[in-house]
Amino acid sequence: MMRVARSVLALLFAVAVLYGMQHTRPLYSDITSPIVASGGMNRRVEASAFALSLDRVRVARVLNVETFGKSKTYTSSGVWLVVEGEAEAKFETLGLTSGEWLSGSGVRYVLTDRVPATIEMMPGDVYQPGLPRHVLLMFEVPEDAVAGGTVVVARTKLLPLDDEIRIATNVSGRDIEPELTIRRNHKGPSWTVLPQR
Amino acid sequence: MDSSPAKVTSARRGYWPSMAALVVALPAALAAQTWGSIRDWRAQHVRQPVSATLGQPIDYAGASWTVTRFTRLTGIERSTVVLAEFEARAADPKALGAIPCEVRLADGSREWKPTLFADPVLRQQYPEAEQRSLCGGIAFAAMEPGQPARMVASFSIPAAASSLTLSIALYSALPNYLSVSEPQP
Amino acid sequence: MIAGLGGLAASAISFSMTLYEAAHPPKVPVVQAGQQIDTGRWFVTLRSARVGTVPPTGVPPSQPVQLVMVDMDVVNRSATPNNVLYRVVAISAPAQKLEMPTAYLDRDKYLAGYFNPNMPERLTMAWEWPADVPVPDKVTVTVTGQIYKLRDNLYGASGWYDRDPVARVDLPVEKVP
Repeated sequence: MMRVARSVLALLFAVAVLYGMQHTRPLYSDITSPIVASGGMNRRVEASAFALSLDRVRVARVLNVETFGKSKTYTSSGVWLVVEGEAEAKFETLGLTSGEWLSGSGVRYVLTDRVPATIEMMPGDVYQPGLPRHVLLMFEVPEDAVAGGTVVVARTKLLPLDDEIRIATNVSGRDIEPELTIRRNHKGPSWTVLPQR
Repeated sequence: MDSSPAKVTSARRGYWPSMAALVVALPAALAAQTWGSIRDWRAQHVRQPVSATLGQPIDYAGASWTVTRFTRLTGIERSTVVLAEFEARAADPKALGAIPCEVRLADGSREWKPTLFADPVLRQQYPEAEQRSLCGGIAFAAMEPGQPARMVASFSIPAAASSLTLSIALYSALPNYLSVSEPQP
Repeated sequence: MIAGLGGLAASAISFSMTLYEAAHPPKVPVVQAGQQIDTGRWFVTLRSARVGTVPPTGVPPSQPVQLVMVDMDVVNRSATPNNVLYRVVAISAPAQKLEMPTAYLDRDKYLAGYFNPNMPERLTMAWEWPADVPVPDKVTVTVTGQIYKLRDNLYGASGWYDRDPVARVDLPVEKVP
C-alpha cells in the first residue's frame, strides 16, 4: 500500500516538475535571439561585424519614386517612413538584408517590398570593410506605430545569435509631410529625397 | 513486480560496469557525430598559405597557376579598385570547373570579396577585364586540357589599405590556398 | 510494458478521433459576402468573384489562361508581417487540385508582398482555373482559422498554426472579358 502511494507521489512530483520547466524555460525565439547593440540617432552604433548610424527619419502620407524619368506614386493606408543613414562593414564584405521598424508597442514592420529594386535600398547593397556607404530604408506603417519606433538592422533574419543593431528614433509622429519623392540619380549620391530640408 | 534474489544480484553486478561503459560510450558517440562538422570547420578556417610570386607559375589543386596582374586603379573619393588577373593550365579542366573557387583580398585585419564587374571605374579604365571570367566553373568549362583559363577578380577597398594579399582557394585543395602579396612600387 | 500499452492506447485514441472527425465533419458557418470574418490571424472580408483572362495588372499572360479572381479586404492582426494568405483563403475545383493563387495589391495593381500588421488592404487573389473545366456560376470560398501557440510541441517556438475552417462564403462568379 505504502509503495503504491509513494509511486503515485513520485509521479505527481515528476508531472509538476515537467510542467514547471515547460512554463519557466525561455522561449525558443529568446534562446536563439540575436546579440543586440543599441543606440540613438546621429551616432555610430557598433555591432561586431558592422556599424550603422542613422541621420534622419521623415514621415509622409504619399511616396513618389522617380527612377530614370519614370515616376510612380505609392499610397498607403498608413504613412511612409523614409530613413537615411550610413552603414559600414568592419572586417569582411557583407550584405545587410534585414531591416525592421519596431513600433513602441512591439509590432514589427519590415522594409517595404512595394518600391522597385531600381532604388538602391539597404538590402540589395554590398558593404565593403573600410568603405562606409549611405543607406536608405523605407517602411510602411500605421500612423500610431511611428512615435517611439526603433530601427532594427541585421545581416539576415535567418541567422540565430548573429549581430543586430537597434537604433531608437526620435520621431514624434506629429510632423507628417503630405508627400515625399525619392529620386534615383545618375551621378553623385544614388538618390535624393525631395523636398530637401 | 518483484524479482527473484538471483535476478537482483545479476542486475546489481551489471550496474557499475554499465555506468563505466557509459562514460566511454557517450563522449565516443558525441565525437562520432561531430567529427564531420569539425573536419569541415577546420578545412574552412584553418588554412595553409602556399606563397606564390607575381608572374611565376605554381602548382596548386591539379593545375599550374600564374597571377599575371595585381594592380590598383584610381578610384572615386576614398575608394580604390584593385584588379587581379590570373590563369590556370589544368590537365583536366572539366574536373576543376566543378570545384567552388574562392578569391579574397586581405590586409591583415580585413577581408574583401570580389565585386562583380559592377564597378564603373573598372569598366572605364580596364574594359578588357570583361573578356575574362570569374574564378570557377565558367572559366574552365570551355577550356581544352593544357590551355590557360584566364580569370579576373576586382575589389573595392579603401585607398589607405596597405600590405594587401590576394588569396585563391579551391575547395578540393583546402586547407592549402594560393597567396600572393601586392608588389611594392 | 506499461509504456508499450500506453503507446498502443494513444495511437488507438488518435485513430478513433480521426475516424470520428471524418465521419462528423465540423459544421462550418456560412457567411455572407461583405461580412468580416475573424480567422485569428486575419480579418478577411470577401467582396466578389469573377472569371477573366486578364490579371489585375492589366497585362494578359503570354499564354491565355482562365483566372478565377476573388476580391477581398484583409487586415493582418498579428505582430509580424505575413503573406501566406493562400493558406487562409481557398477555393476548389471539382476533382482537381488548383495551383497556388497569386495575390495582387489593389493599390499598386501589382503583385502583393507582405501585409503589414494593422494595415487594411484590398487585394485580389487569382487562381488559374483548368481549361477543360467549366467555371461554375458560383464559387465557395473556404476561410481557414489559425491559432497562435506561444510554445509549439517540438521546439517550444512561437508561431501560428492552421486550424479548421471558420467560414464558407458563396460568391456569384461574374463573367468579364
